[in-house]
Amino acid sequence: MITFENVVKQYPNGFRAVDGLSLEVAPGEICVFIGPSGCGKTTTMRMVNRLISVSSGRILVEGRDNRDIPAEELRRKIGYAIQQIGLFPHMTIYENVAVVPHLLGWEESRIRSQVDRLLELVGLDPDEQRDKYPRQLSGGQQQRVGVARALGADPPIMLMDEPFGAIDPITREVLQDEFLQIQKEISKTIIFVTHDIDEAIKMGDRIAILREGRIVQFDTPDTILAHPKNNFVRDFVGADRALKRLGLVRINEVMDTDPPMVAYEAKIEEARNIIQKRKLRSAFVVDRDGRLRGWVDKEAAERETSLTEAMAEVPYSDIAVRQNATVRDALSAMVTRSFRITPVVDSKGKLVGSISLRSLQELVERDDSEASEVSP
Amino acid sequence: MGGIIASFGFFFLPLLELKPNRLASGIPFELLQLGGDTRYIILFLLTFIVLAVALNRTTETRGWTLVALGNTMMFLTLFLGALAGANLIGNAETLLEGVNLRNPRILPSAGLILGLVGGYVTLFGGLSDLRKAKTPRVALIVAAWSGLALILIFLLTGQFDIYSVMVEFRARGELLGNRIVEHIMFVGVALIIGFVLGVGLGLWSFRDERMAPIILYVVGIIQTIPSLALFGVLLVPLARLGDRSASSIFLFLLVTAVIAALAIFLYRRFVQSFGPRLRQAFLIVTALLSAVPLALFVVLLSSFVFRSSFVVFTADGTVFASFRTLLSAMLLVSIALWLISRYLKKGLLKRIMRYGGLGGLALFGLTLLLAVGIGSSQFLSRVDSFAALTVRDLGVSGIGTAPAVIALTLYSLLPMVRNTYAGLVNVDPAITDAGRGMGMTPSQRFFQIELPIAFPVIMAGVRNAAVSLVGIGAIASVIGAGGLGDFILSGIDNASIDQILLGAIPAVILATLLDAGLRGLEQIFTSPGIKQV
Amino acid sequence: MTEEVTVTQGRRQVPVISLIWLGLAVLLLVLSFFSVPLKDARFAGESASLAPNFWLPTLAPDTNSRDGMTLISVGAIDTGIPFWILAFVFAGLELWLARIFAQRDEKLIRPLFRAATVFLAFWSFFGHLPLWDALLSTIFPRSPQILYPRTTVIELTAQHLELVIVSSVITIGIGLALGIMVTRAQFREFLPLVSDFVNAGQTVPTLGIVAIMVPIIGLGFWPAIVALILYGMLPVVRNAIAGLEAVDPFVIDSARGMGMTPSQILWQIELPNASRIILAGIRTSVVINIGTAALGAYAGSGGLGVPIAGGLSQTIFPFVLLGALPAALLAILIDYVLERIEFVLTPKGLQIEK
Ligand SMILES: Nc1ncnc2c1ncn2[C@@H]1O[C@H](COP(=O)(O)OP(=O)(O)O)[C@@H](O)[C@H]1O
Ligand SMILES: [Mg+2]
Repeated sequence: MITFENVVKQYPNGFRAVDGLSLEVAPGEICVFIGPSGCGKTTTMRMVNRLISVSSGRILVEGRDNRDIPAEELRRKIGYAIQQIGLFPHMTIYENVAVVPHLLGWEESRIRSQVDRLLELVGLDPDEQRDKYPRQLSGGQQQRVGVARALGADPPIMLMDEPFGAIDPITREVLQDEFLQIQKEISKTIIFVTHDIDEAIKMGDRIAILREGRIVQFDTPDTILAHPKNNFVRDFVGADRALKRLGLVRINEVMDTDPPMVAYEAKIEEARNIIQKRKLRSAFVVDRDGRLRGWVDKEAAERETSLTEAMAEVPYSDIAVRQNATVRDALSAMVTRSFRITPVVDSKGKLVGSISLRSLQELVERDDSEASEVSP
Repeated sequence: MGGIIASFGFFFLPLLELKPNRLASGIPFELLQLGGDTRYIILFLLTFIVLAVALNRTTETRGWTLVALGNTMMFLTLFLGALAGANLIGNAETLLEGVNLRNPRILPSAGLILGLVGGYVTLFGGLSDLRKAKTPRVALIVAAWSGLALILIFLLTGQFDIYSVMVEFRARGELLGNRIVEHIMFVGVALIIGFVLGVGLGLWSFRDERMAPIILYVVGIIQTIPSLALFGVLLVPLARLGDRSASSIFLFLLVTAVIAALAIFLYRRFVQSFGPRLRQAFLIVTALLSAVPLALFVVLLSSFVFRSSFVVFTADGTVFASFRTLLSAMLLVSIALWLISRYLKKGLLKRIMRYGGLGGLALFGLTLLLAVGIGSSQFLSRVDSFAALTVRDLGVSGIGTAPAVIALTLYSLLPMVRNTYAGLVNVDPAITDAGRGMGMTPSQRFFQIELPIAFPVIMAGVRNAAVSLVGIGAIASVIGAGGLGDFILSGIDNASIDQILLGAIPAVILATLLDAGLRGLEQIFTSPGIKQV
Repeated sequence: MTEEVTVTQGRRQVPVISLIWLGLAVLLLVLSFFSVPLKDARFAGESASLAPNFWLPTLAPDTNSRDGMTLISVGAIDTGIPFWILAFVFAGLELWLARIFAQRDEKLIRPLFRAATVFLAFWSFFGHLPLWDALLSTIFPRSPQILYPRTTVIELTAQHLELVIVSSVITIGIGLALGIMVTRAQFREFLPLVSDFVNAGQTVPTLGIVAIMVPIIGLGFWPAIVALILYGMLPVVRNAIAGLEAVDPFVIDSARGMGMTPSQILWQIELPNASRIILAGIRTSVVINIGTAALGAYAGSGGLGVPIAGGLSQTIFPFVLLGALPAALLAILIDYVLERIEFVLTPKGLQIEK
């Protein structure tokens, strides 16, 4: 979809910001450019839509050299979102999102439905926000509009330069999740620039780590975490890369699908049995629909005479993790609540599995041994 | 707390009203000397009521009372003053025994003015109170203008005719009308030319980083030259120019233009091979060279436009439009309509304006064709006499409207250039970058992004220029350009306040109206997204 | 014509040597504007720009009381010192100062010297009536009169400067005080009122203000001063308010948090931060005053407006130029000097170098 062939950018002052970069971005993937500040991420990205000219080498967009396409035409089919957002302050939200469709000469009715669709997509109520001006929105909302505007004419390709960089961490997480959700629907080919390794790992299908205008490593997040190519990458991804890697694994990929559970109506002996048989310290209590009601621990089970008295009844969201959360989330839940085993539920609260501290430990150890195999 | 401070403030200014209210021409009369009539005590009492009210705490009621008091104070000061004046004139014989009496007049004096100012301050305090109390806007407007409206009504119905300014006004109303029109004319022409040039230069300096400091510097220098001196300095070249024959001027113009074009071409061609110093010097020379024909052209054009548009007003003050004026007015209006329609949202108004504008343009073209058809034969016979024409015949000379228009144009440049440049430069680069990234062409970017965002700043420059031009325009009358300055000058000669005021007050009103009008335009065309709140 | 009898003026010759000196001086001056890489070379250019002073003595042979050469008077007392001696002394003094300061603060001293030399050059130029005579009679060969008969240009300039300086000092004092006052919390109530008045004052024509003083006060120096003060006050007050209002409230807040008293905050925080805008207002005000002072001629205050007004009313164009050129030059020069002073007085962190 986008191919860099030996691309060089030398600025008029002689500085080589990009130095012989080759890389291919596959259709429908999010390719993250990451690296320390000034390593040429923005420059590389902006060469794709020719905001910066290439000094030598070439960039193919959908198989054509992008210099063969008139600059304006090229840019209109490439979405563009930047950290500063750059919403046009004198235009309403509607007008902002409608800029590219207007440039392309779409019909008004088509533009209107498109804008409404996009606003809904990025989680804004069209009727409420359409006629507002950018300054009437919060930073997070503005960035949503920025994304909607970049999606304006359904471009197959998007360029995003630290789009969530200027937003507070909580909102950033929300926007990242939402954007991944959106990407599932629209599957654009995206070049995503960031300097935040966590964001890169979360967003990227593949990550290109840049240094002084060159690619150091271009791979999937998992591989980069597991097998950093050299010390630069290792330092860059951080000492906690094993932990970060846990963030890539979904719980339902590694959980124990046969959790220790007793029915709410069951006798206390049943609980004792399960705990003893599996050499555990507690078991989960579920209701008739399989929904998690609470847990019962070993001491209580032995002390009390009925399950209802022995169990601790709590809302499932307090103790359980969702099955589509990452292993890292499970770990942090266990650490904060000092559990050795954490129940895993689906979106309705049904107990679908459990994950134990020991299994996590095994996972990390396995990763490490894999990693050391490659680079001893 | 603020309320107490406010009351302290109100305490001060209206107090000044207690100062003697001196009336009558030359011979001051104090308020208390106006004898016999207890009504004037009301004025005193009013000021004390203000003090009392100001101590009151609730903002809304205090606001309304203060507004009412302020309005009455302003009105009564004038009204009672007028009554007293009439009284005085009636008794003038007895009061001024032995003095030769001829047409006695009543001059407003310091006390009266302080009365008005005190009233205004009171009104203002009341209004700010009301604003704090979140009174609806309509009520605010009514509160602010009711006193003035009352005064205006009395003015129009002739109740205040006793004041000498009004006497003067009655005597010279007709002339005043003409002078105002003159004033508007040359200020307007200068403003329009200044706008075109100023915005053009602003754009140039925005586009060309190297030129920006040079342009801004030159324009700034012009601004520092005292207006009287500028009028004086302009006198020389224009006086000399006036003696030349028109054809030689045009030849000169042509030659300079060609040389300038050549210089620009050379510059473009060989720009790289110059050293930085040389390049700068070359640029300056080029700029000067191209400025000469431009300036001359402006001179000729402005005097020409000015003359042709002036035909509208004949000596007896009735409005008569010449064919030419009508045509140019039509052209302007159609273009304006069309331009405005581009900015409007979809709707009936847009369509009407658009087709109106286009229709007007078409009509203009048609008439022009006709006129050319008829006129070409006549024109050909004129060509011979053209060579004998001097520039003076075209209306350019050292004194009169031409130098006035030129000087005013020059003065209007700085605010316009500065603001255009600042407005455009200060557009957030992220915004233009976003526009570029979305595939806008440079012209789309300029018209859809940069211009709308810089618009309020540019308009602020225009307003600034307009207000100062009205003031400087008064000075233009020293070089025989006419306008409101004539009254002021003759007022100085006769040591007559009335005549000076007759010139100054309309100028103030004119400047205020112009400012308000331009502000209105600015409001209409500025997107609500970037309005100051 | 009027009874101010034409002073018969045989066309006087300008001494050739003085013209040569002038040419040299101007050349060196122009050169001094271009920066020369070597420091010494620059200093040479600097001192060379003092050359106009040496131009003065060459005029000495032409001296008589009418062309300003003996106008070295302190107040009303004529010192009687031959002008050329003074010129030499001054040149020496300047050279000495230039040597001292050349290596120091470039930003102020250099431009000031430049301005001083230009000023002296103009001053001697103003004073040198034969030169005016020669210049104006080439421009207006047919004019019956060339030089303004009543006073010398130098005297008019002095009057002009007096008007401007006296009024500016008062204006700046009152204007700043007013501006500072209405931005204090106690008097904040008046802020909209004052800015209203300032904005409205803008619309009153300058000529109107000067004119209205005549019937009220009479002709002379003071009506012009009052008018100058009234009109010149507007930019000072406006910029003082704008500058003080523009100071970041968080800066003031943190100053208060550190325990500064209001007056400390004013002097150490607000004024330095607002100084750029305030100084710009003062500069505008002074420049406006130079222009308005020219109008003072209509109020009988003297100054460079006098020959302009006289020339216009009698249609003797050389008079007009005789007033207009020095007035324009004066304004440009003072504006330049003030611009540099403004720059230097602005705290380092807020300076914007062009
Ligand atoms: N117009 C320019 N001229 C010269 N150097 C530039 C220019 N733009 C960027 N650079 C330099 O190129 C390098 C890469 O810039 P950029 O791509 O913006 O870095 P980042 O990776 O932080 O986005 C930086 O060192 C920057 O200083
Ligand atoms: Mg970057």
